[in-house]
Amino acid sequence: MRHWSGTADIPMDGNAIVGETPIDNLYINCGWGYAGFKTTPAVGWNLAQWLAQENHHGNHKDNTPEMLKAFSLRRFSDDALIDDAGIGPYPWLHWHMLLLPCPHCGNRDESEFDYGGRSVEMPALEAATMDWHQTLHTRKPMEEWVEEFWFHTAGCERWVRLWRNPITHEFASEFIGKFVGDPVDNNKNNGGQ
Amino acid sequence: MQPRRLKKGGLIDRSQRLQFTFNNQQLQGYSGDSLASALLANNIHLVARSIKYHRPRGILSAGLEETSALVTCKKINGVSVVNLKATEVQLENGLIASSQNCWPGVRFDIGSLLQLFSAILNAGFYYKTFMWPKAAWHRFYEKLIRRIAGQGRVNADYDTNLYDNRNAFCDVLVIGSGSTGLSAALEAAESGESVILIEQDNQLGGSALWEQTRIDLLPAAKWLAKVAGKVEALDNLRVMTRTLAFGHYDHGCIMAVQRNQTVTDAIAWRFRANRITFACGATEQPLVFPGNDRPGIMLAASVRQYIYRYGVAPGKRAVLAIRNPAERELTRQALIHAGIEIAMDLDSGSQIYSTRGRRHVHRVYWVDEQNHRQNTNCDLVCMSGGWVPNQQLASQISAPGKVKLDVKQLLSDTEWNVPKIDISIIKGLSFLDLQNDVTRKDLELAVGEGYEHIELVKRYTTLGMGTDQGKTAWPNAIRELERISGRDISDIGHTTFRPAYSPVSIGALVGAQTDHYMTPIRRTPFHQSFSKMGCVFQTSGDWIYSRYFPKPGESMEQAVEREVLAVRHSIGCVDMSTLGKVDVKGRDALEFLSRLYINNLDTLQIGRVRYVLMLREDGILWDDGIVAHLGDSHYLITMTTANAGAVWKWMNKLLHLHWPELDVQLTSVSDHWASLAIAGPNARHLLARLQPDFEIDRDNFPFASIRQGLLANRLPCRILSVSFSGELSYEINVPAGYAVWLFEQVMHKGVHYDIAAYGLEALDILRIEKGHISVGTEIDGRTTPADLGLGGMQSKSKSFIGSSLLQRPALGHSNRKKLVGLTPADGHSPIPVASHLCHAPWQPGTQPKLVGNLTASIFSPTLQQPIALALLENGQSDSQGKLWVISPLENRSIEVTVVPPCFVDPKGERLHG
Repeated sequence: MRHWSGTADIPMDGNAIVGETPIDNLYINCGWGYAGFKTTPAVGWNLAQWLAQENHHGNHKDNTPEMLKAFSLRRFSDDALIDDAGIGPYPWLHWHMLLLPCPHCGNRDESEFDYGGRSVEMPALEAATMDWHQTLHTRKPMEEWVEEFWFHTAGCERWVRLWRNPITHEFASEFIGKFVGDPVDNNKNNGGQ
Repeated sequence: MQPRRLKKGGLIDRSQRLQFTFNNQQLQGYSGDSLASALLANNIHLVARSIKYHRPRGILSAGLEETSALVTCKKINGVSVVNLKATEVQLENGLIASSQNCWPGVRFDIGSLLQLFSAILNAGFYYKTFMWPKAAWHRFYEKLIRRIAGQGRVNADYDTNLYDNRNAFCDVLVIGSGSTGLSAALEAAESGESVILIEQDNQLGGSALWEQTRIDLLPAAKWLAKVAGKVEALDNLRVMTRTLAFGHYDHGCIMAVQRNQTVTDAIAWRFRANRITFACGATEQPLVFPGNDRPGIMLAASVRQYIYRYGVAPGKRAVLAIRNPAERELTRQALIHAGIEIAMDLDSGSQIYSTRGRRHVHRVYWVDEQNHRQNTNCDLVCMSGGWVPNQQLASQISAPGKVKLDVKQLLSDTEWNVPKIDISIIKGLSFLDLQNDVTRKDLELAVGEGYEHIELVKRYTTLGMGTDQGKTAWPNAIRELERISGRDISDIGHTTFRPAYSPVSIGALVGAQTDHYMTPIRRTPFHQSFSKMGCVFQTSGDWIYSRYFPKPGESMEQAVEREVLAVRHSIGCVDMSTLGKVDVKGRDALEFLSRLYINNLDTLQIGRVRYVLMLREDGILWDDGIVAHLGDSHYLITMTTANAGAVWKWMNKLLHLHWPELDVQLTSVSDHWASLAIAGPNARHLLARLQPDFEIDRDNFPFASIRQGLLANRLPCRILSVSFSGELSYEINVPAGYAVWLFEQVMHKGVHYDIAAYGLEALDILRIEKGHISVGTEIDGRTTPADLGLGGMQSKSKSFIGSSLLQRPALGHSNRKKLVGLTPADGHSPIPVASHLCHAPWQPGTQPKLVGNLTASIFSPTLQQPIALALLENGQSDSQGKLWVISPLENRSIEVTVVPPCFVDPKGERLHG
């Protein structure tokens, strides 16, 4: 019943990122999604204590507090993911009232579709670990039009590319639908099929 | 009988008398009455007690903006429903209504003593009081507050009302059927568009039903009759009354609830329209003055509605406090029409500073323009602070199409007089939100404590958070904030308007999808045959799956043990139809499967089968199954029941989006085959008795093969020699329609070997004894093949989905949890399920260092002892000595011995028979 629109800052394993960054003396504490309300006081306490005790000048010994170690940014490339639910790096949308333009079937209710995440170019299977890591765990910031994958489960059973405007909630697809800023051409430039 | 009913007039049907009860009092009304109008006709004003101070409350309005008159209703043979607005409930015969939130009764309510403490029960009091002593909160305060607070008492009985969800589509959806909405709907329909007009009331017309005005030069009633005739004649205009739009969503979506008379049975409609016209009318705002909440103090237009629509005079002697001159005149005429004496008609310079009357207003005090104090006795106050458009629905969605709200414009009709009177003469509380007992003082307090933003004021004071959603509260609150803080009302703004515009029964949203209609039910082709045998079923996802097959007098444990031992010593059969099955064809079928699975499939000969593993892109084990090589570029693959849908979607995603250059066709054949596995040392003998038309000896049909042919010379079949139990086993697939025949044959021919049909319980025990992994337990979304001792299956000569990220450092770390077997150190103690592993027994109150977790724990009928599978840090190389399974829940610690995760036939000789 409640509704709002926007991007929830939840990392790909559903847990927050706390700790050092590749930039010296830049620490982050973010991505709590909806789980932060009860946890942040304890984390804030730990983080503050750590920052207060850390020798910031040339001392690179890892003295991360025990409690925060698991939340490091590095965990994505190392695969020390927390992943409590064991579902892997697959984000979802919580929506149910939209009309999606399936290129084969026309405008259909969103309940007929399954969300497949932001459109990503799959690296070659033999590509380096870092390429796969980048593809799976990182995303470019939201743009005016976002290319996404949707599966028309209760329709043509085809995976389709749709473009969504996260501000206006407009959708677009090939053959039908609204095009603002010609998202199809953008796709071609990105090397889409 | 109905003392306040006018002799004639009104849109009620006086020939149809309706009997109803209110607080156990037998009363009468007419067809066409609302509960509120029937109560007023019976001279009942006091219907409720307020939430916090338990002040007597009456009927303020005549519509869904009603804030005070909340009642519990029960219709004949129905369940009771709480917190209904008496103004929204249509009267029907046999209706039983009662007041809530009062004890022993609404006329004398012990809780009203709380008014004496109003000074400390101000905004946010629950954050400040009841703090000491600390221990008293749970023991005393909470219980007390729970008893006093809240509104009606929810009926915990099964909800027997009927609900449904429906969809409708149109070019134009018009919300509201007042003169505006009707005109809009007519115009759109006459131009040929398909139009749906929805109206929350039970009749079309809005205020034109009862207001004595002219529309298009005609008296409102005549105009309405003329338009209603036109509406009737149009086929492309669909009219739905009693249908309340409560939510506005993207892409032309409106959610509405269509209700029957008493607001119990309901249908939730989802409308999809190309255009939406909002003609939702306006809400009259009350005035804020001390003692403005007493029964008998009503909105002026509502009084007119009671008089003209329901033929009810809500009082005998009235005081008018109406700012708008035109409205003042309409109200005067209405009162004269109803024979109500006008005691005083206050002009805009006068200020009410107090009212009196314990259960009903009986005196009003004011200062006039000359600053003289005056008073008069009365039993009705008709007030109006102006009108505010009902734009809530239009404003619910964000861009595009969002109606940008200028609060100043919205409130332009509400006039506000800053009290000029001497504060010291003010007697009593001035209520802004009657439902939540929020007063002018509460707002001052909130602003004084720093909660100045309108959204914070709302949350701190609870203003506008009631079932009326503050329809008669928020405009006055904005004006009040303007007065307190001196800010411009455009800066103050308004709170976010969200669904639901007015309360909706959860039942309507759920619709008919309850009980066994909640999700689709999937039954396997063997279901009927199993049922006849007395099989006990269980749900597994959408599936109804056989659990065990008890013989008369057997307990579950006895039946399952018999089934397991039958498989180990002779033969059993089990339903495998729920596995996902996909037929893969095409020039690139092998290439596709090689990319999908970790195994090397190049060496898989036609007619052979391989156990395969599939990873997620991040290198974590996702699913297992088999690949059977049927013919040239033709494969059959299976996946687990749990992941069948997800893997199907994933394979399609790869082919549709990522590798469209591959020539591969996928066909889901899950439902086309009935699949029955026969397992046990006698499996080959039984298979021979089913008369396949191909050789089945060990050399011609070895383990991990597939054969296609006929059974008994007529039934086409596919038989796979694969095993989940660790015994010699054949998975017999026949077209789904022949399931009954196959099962009967197997059971009939199996009599020679004392065959036992077995279910999920025995299936699980058999695989745990053998140490076979399963999705959801060992394949838990965090393990890799190497963690489960299956690293050897991984092809070193190719890349596959997940192979790149499998190389990440943490996945190869030596301390990762590995699959192990466990037996109790004493040989017989049961190992508690869902427990943790630890190097010391558990001490209550401690937080031990955990080194692993159990994935399965059973009593093994084969070994006659408890066994378990677990994921243990460092696996069997762990040499830290003793290990305990600890279960803080059961307050138990069992010392265990680590063994290889295969308890039966570790060399795998039995598979070959």
